[in-house]
Amino acid sequence: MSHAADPGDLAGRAARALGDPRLQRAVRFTADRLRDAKAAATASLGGFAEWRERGREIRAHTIANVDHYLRLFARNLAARGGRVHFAADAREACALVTEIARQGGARRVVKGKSMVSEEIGLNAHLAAQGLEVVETDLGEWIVQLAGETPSHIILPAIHKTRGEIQELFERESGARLAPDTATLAGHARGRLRTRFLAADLGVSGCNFAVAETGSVVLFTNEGNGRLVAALPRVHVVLMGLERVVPTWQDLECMAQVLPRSATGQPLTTYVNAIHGPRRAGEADGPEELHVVVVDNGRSRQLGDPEFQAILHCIRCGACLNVCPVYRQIGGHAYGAVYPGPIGAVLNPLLEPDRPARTELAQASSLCGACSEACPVAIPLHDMLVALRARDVRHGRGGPGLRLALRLLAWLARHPRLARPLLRLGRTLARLPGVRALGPARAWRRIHAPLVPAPRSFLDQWHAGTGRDEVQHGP
Amino acid sequence: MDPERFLAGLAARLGRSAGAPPAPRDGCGVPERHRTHPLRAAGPGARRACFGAALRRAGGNLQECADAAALEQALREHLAAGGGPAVCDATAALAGLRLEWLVGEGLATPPSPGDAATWRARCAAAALGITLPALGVAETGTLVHALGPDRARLTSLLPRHHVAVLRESCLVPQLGDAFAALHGAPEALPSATVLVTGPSRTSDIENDATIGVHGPAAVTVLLLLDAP
Repeated sequence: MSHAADPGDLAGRAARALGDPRLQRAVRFTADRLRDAKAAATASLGGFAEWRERGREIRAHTIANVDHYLRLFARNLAARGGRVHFAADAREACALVTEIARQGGARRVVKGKSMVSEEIGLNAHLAAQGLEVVETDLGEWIVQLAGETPSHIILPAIHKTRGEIQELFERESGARLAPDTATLAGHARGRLRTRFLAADLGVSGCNFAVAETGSVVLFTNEGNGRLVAALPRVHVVLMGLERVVPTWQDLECMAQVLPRSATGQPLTTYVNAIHGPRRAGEADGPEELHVVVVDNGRSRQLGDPEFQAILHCIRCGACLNVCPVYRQIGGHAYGAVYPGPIGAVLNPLLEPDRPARTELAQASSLCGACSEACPVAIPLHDMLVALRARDVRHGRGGPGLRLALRLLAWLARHPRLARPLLRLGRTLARLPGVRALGPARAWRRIHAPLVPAPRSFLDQWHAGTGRDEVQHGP
Repeated sequence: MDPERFLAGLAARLGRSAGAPPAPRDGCGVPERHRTHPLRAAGPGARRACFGAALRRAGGNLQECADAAALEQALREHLAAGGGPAVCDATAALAGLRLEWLVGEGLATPPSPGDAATWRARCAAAALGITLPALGVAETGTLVHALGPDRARLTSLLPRHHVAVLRESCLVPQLGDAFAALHGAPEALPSATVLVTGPSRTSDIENDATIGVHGPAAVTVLLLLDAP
């Protein structure tokens, strides 16, 4: 099955994922492992509720004053020779990177992991300009060789088996390889090392930007993020405008929270804080350092009481691992850059005019596990409800849903008429023929049948039968 | 896009006037309880033990050296076992631990600022990279490198084996202590601050953890103990 940018609608993509038991096993295995590792790592820190509240405070304060902290960050980095650019949208961001590459005479690009680069479609854009782009995160490289997209924020290639990876590597290099992890990873190290040494432009993401010193901070495990920032003559950092934090004290809090929430590590192998380009008398490092601050739909959330907090996200992926929907359908079924609960909220907010994005708010059971797992306490499930309400207000729910909701609202305002009508509905719902109709049939395809209780809640309530112990249905 | 217009747009959405100072804050940095962690009051022995345990959990090795002679012997053993050339921090950095002999005897090559291409080729061919981190963090087993002219980026990155030499007195209890020490004065900020906790690792192939994917596959810390 191909996992290239999947066409079709959410239901179709989900159905395809549900028909792929191997994919489901891989997704569940990964999600369980990361979820359990997070639980252990946050428990070992002690008092995680306090860390979470502090993380929320830091992110809320930063975003509520993000213009100030971005200005401070840009001024401080510029004072040490870094160049900070601002891009209103994906097109502007891609154009900026292309122009930086052109001015630097760059042909060969090595990339570290960057979700923003996926979001703005940078690889395709650079390739169209004749540049050669190589992903260097092992998982991202595997996904690139397969012509696919990442299926998890933290581990992009969990949907590939070692056999598939072996095949991809053999096809890329012409070598014969054993399928064990050490051989495959060692092979990738060698192949990508030559690419690193030949590259003239490095592109990376940014986990945090520290305003008080104007520093870009990258949390990585493999070391490719350091190579991208050390070997090519020019280093371009892509960052969403919300990645900033005020101080190094705040960064310390994030350094404890992000790796534990993402992979369950006390700290990632590398934390690379870049304070500027190469200085006089240094033997290595980029001669030019550019930071492209990307808006692309983010600023629209500022000042919105329902959605501003989505910009608090630190991209740890913890919400994916606990989400019953993500665990069933995996990342590709979302058909967008950001999978899981964060994607179900963020993609519709970033691209509100694309039905393929707005329908993602339906990919949730509203159980709230995501909000509970979030290390900075973003109320994701409240946002999902608000997004669905927005959809209906904008007339996107389809005429059937709109009519049903209008009817329900009318009934709620007319309780005297509502009760007999509801009773009639219950009687009808007991008829076997009705259960084969429209919405009921769709429900029956994946759920146990809904059979009304012998007495309705309202009847029991009004009869006064144990108001503290209302009977449940069968 | 014009920076001022970009930032003014954000301010307007937030109902702030452009260029206004931030609102007062509720909380900053780590929770207070982290600052009263027992590790902060622990003696040097406990701090060292904590550093070693965290480093080993991350896949690194700790070798304690009682004096300069023991340190020299340990370094010579690693050089002999390295199976290839070595690169190291600049002589000015080595002098702090009286390790100039590494360069003097031609056992390791320091960065050559005038010739970046040669330095990069040397690091790519080196089996061993020897660094002198500014600090070590006990709670996480982390080496903290403050990079600049005397401490290059590639030394701890391209060779397969990274050997770091650290004085015991340079161990600080927590990450925040390292950040405060290195990032306190903007004019004294290094080019980059690189934190290293164990060898390079990945789980990108079927969740199977493996080391040495892009960075070093082995990290050894030679800890020079303070005189009792």
